[in-house]
Amino acid sequence: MSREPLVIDGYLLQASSGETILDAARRAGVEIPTLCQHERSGTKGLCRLCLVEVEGWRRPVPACATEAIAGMVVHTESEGLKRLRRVLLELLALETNLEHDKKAQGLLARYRARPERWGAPLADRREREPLQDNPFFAREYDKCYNCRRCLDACAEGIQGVWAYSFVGRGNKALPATPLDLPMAEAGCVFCGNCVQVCPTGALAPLEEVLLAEGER
Amino acid sequence: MPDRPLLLPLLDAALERRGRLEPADVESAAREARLPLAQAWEAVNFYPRYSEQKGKVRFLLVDDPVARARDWRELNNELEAAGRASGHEVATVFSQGLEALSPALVVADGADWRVFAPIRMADLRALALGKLPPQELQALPERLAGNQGWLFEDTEPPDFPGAAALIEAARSADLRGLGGAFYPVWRKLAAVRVQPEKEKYVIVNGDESEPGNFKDRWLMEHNPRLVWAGAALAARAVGATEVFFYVRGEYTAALARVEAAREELEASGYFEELATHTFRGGGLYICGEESALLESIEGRRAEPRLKPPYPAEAGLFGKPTLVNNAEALAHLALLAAHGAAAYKRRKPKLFSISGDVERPGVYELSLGTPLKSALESAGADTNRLAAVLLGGAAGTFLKIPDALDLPLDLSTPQLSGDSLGPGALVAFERGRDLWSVVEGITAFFASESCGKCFPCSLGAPHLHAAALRRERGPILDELFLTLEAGSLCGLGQAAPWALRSLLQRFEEVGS
Amino acid sequence: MIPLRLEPDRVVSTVCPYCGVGCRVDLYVKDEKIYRVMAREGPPNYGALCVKGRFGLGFLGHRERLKQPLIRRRKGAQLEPVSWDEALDFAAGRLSKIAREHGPDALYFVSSAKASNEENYLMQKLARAAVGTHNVDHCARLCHSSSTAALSRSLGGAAMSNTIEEVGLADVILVVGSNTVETHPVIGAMIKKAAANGSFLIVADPRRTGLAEAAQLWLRLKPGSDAVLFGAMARHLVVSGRFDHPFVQKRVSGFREWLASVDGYTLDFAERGSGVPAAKIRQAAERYGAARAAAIYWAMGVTQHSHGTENVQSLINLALLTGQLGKPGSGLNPLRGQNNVQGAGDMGALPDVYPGYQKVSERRARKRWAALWHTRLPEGSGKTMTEAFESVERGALRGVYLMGEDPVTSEPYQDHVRRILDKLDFLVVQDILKNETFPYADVVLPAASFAEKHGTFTNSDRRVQRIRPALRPPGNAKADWWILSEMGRRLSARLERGRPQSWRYSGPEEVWREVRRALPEMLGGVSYDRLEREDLRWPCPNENSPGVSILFTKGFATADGKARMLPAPWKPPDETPDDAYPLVLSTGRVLYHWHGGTLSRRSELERVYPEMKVEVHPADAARYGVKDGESVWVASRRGRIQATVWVTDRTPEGVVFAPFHFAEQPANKLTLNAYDPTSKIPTYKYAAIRLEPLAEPTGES
Repeated sequence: MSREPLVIDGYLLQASSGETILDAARRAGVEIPTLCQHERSGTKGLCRLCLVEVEGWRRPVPACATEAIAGMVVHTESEGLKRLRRVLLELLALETNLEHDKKAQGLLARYRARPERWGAPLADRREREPLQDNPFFAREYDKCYNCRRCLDACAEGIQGVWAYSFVGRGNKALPATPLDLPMAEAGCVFCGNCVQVCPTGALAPLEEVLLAEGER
Repeated sequence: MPDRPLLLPLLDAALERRGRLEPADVESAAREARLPLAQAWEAVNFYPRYSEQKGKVRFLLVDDPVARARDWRELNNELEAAGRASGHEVATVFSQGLEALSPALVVADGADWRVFAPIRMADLRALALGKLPPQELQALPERLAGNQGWLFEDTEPPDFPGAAALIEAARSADLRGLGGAFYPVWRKLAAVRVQPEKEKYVIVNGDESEPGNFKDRWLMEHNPRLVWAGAALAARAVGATEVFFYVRGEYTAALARVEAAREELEASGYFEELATHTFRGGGLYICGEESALLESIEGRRAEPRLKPPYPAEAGLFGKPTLVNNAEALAHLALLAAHGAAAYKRRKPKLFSISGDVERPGVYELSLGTPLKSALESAGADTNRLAAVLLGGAAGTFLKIPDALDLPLDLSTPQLSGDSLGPGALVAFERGRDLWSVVEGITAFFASESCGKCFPCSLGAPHLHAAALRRERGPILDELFLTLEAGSLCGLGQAAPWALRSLLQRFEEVGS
Repeated sequence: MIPLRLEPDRVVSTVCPYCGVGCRVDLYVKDEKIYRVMAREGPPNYGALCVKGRFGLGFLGHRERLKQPLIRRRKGAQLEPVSWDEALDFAAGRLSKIAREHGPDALYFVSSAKASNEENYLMQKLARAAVGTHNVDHCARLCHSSSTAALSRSLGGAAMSNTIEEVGLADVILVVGSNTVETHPVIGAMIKKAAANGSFLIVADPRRTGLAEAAQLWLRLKPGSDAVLFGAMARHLVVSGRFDHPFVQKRVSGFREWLASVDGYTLDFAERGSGVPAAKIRQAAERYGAARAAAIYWAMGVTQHSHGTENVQSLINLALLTGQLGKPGSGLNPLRGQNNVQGAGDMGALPDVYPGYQKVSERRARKRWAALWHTRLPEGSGKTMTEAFESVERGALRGVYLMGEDPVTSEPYQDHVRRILDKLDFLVVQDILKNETFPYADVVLPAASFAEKHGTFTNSDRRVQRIRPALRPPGNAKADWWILSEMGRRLSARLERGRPQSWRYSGPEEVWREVRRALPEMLGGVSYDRLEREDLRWPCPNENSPGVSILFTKGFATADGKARMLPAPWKPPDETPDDAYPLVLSTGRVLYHWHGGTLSRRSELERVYPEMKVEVHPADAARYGVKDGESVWVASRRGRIQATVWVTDRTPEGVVFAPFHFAEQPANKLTLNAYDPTSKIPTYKYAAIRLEPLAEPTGES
């Protein structure tokens, strides 16, 4: 396997061929923020939080979906990137209920995000009613920011089942089921691999939801 | 093509039969297309026409930059009244390539549309009494071709000069893609040509949906043979086996005429072994993004793909694919017909000129024509103009008279952060409401965002909210950056340009 | 970072208790409740689970958990709660009495593929060392004993030759008689993904299973026609010169004899026998034969026939012929049904082998184990479970010790089993939950579940994995290893066999050390310490060995190092449909339930699949006038059960498929009392039946 020497934030390191900038950076101890990326479901490139600058390239590129190649000089924390991430996280937090998403909360703190700068939330995302259509897990899409890991895990990524459809456009888009059927009729096999990969708690085991509510 | 039918035509056939889609139609279309039901349902939910129901009549006012700048509020109020009186729903629909005839009205019965343009206040008042306006429009009037031009001539389809010769001609004439990105056509041709696969595709991108632009519509409606000829030449140059002509979904006349031209050329033997298809597009701006267009042919949500791989390597159904805009392929035919030298002398380019000009329409001008003469060729009195929207919705406002000497070529405008885009010039006299135009443009991007990447799906609606607030604060710069640098595709990246140029160049525009 | 709504009191890393994939799980515990199950990254499940492991652990807190030792002082009396000492003394007294009066072979010990390696080891040690009989077996008799028999005699090893992580490396995958997406869902999903990513998937199954739908080539064979189908594929490869001649020459014996045995198996003959078009058989053969790496996976559709050993043999012959063994992505891979069925066999919970598959008939093995256990050991094999149960009515068998086994639901021909249990002098039931066999028990010993104890499980691809307690056992329930060691000490003393003090174990790790000392070549290097840090599979002879993933890379575990091809003649079914019973019954599993339903039906899984549904082909439904959703009798010559009809073309015309998870509607009441002569596996996949209207309920026969 060929080795690809490159520079990330001043560190000279060797990436193995085919490795992404994200993985190469992680090995060097440079933590590029990500939300949507998931190895197992195959999800990548949507949240754009992992955008990095490569010297000589016209546009920033997603570290999770860009191969590390020899000679790259990569910057992961430029002022521009920091501002971009801050705005992204602010809008995300403004529109989405992130109360269980500790990773997003950590990033909000890291980038000193102040969602209130953007006024009131626009979309109906926060008003979405919880769905309880099966005995195993809850679906609470006020907490969902459309990373699509659940869709990928259900389809090509892991299970090969296609029980979820991504419906709607723009900020009104969200995961749903084909023909809006209840999960069981949508071909769901309740493997729960969608719950496994969900980063926000929009999908959560019913046991956990009930136990948590019982405590309140 | 895989040996299974495509999803969108199956859905269209069901919609045609029944006037609306029932769950059973979706299920049977998915089965026939051998796609998961979940994926078919995604498509049904994504493309607007599949939610329409025959019998549900709606009055749709066409929201384009020209209408926005003029009596937009009054038109809306009048239509509201007509809606209340007739009991029909009232809404707006984004630009239909009718800027030259603006304002326009669509009377929709489910997915069946009748288009009326231009309309007057009186027409809207008559609508309340159940009377449709008299000026129904099937296609753009041919007369909208405002001058003489090669692209307006019904040229005999040229002979194939050989792959190497055609690619060399495109290179020496510096023919570029003409959807707005100006990528050299010869590079794409060469990149697809070298791919070893047996199956390759050529796609004609006729999904012209950016407000301010209507030159491709004119071409598809009045000179589709020229585009087909260019596509067939490109296909033979790259070794493609099939051509899809992707026509914007709402352009029913263009669809019919493109298909008629295809049949004629097919009958004449021009296509030889090449398989050709006219494909009805999904009916959304994002369908014009080349990889989103491929997704939509494949029966998925039209969402841009992560690149690489580029379509030249892995495009339609994963095969090497050449995607070019309709006009660029027409140019390829002209190049073959007239030769590179003659072409270079002429450097033809279509412009969609609308707004406050005497004769709005499509003009063939030489690249490099100064803005002033371009406007004047359409009869503008440049002394009365305050601004020109260059490129279209994904464009910028130029200040008049400051920009009158700007040469309209592919590179000079970029020096000031502007771009010819697909070639729209929308002229605004002093006193026109540019904020209203920007409200329309930002609403357009918020509505057309596909929902794939976070910056665009979150940022575009906030951009629109800022425009509605007529926000000017520095916080906007952060939003511009987020959209422009963060978005996955050109839609989100270009969304802030018009607003930003307005704020930068028109300090006096009141908020 | 997991978006938890509750901070757990603890997170325990252990292994799923359901099928043989052996998925690694993290159990999140709060207030003695498991509220979230997460898959671990890494092998064997790589972050994925199925519904059973993820959401099917509700049985742990079910009200029917056994919490107190119970004894029935005499037949006809009620079960009464007693202390552990009293229960153990009572059981040991009665068992030793039977052994003294009728000989050790009057007792039978049924071990459990759900229990740990340590516990299976102790169960067979209990039978062999403390009592002096080889009468020990476990439920693999009912699932893969035909695989074990055929693989042992041909290759000298009875386990998956390759590993789960190699699924994606095969360019051809042949799945036979396995509804993998429902029975081994995590592997099923991996196979589907491999097929989507370019592997050529061939599925041979009468039913249109989820995998059949994902397959590039589906061979819809008639039930029970495996041997003719695969025999013809193999023959076609020979006659068309497409087999691996050097491999056969160097590494295989018996080629000529085998070839003669498939002489008449032309493609056309196989088409008539199997119902699969000759062109498809040819395509399957040529695809498989041309593969760089081709893997075969199979399960009960192959094995549960009275000619199950021949069916498996026909697959072995195909793999040997094409050299598809001993390299990555290839191999012969029986998919094991229970979490530790591999371990139960490895630990010698079988009547004919000691731990490590050392034959009881071999003198050297006997001497070795006698020395290890300080006692004499019998020479002849024990009886298989199926055989032993047959001998109850003759009075040869009088006492049975069941650990985690429910024969009323799982054994074939169920009414017969009830009669047998009624006849026993003495029955010990050691289990975690009340089951159908419970009413026949004289002693009930409440056991701890997988989530309440330490130990190891060995999954389908020979991976030894640690289980760890997440919860305290309910009431007075105790881990099986503790119960068995207490019982062993008592029986050893009463029967004066071996050393009673050798039954004092500080815990499972000490048991495991004994196993490793006894089986150094196989498990010497698999210590609890290493299992904390490493993924290990056997054979793993020492502390430095990483374990062996792919078996048979050099030689086979036979005397001459060569694999044996053996004739695998196709035999017609034992019972064929006729006018009175015109349909074929095939039994099997569904996604949401597992085996006798003891676990799955006491969890949330029951809510999505609460009733027995039998699959009936639309043409049969029309022919016999039954409708979707209608309740009918399914009747065979042996009995009848009530079930709801599901009209679907998943099942082929002429075949009715019934799941066997429902104790109140036991499909096994209908099945044949016929066995494979080599492995003694029962015929679960073929019985003649008819559908009767429910109109006149005549009660159960």
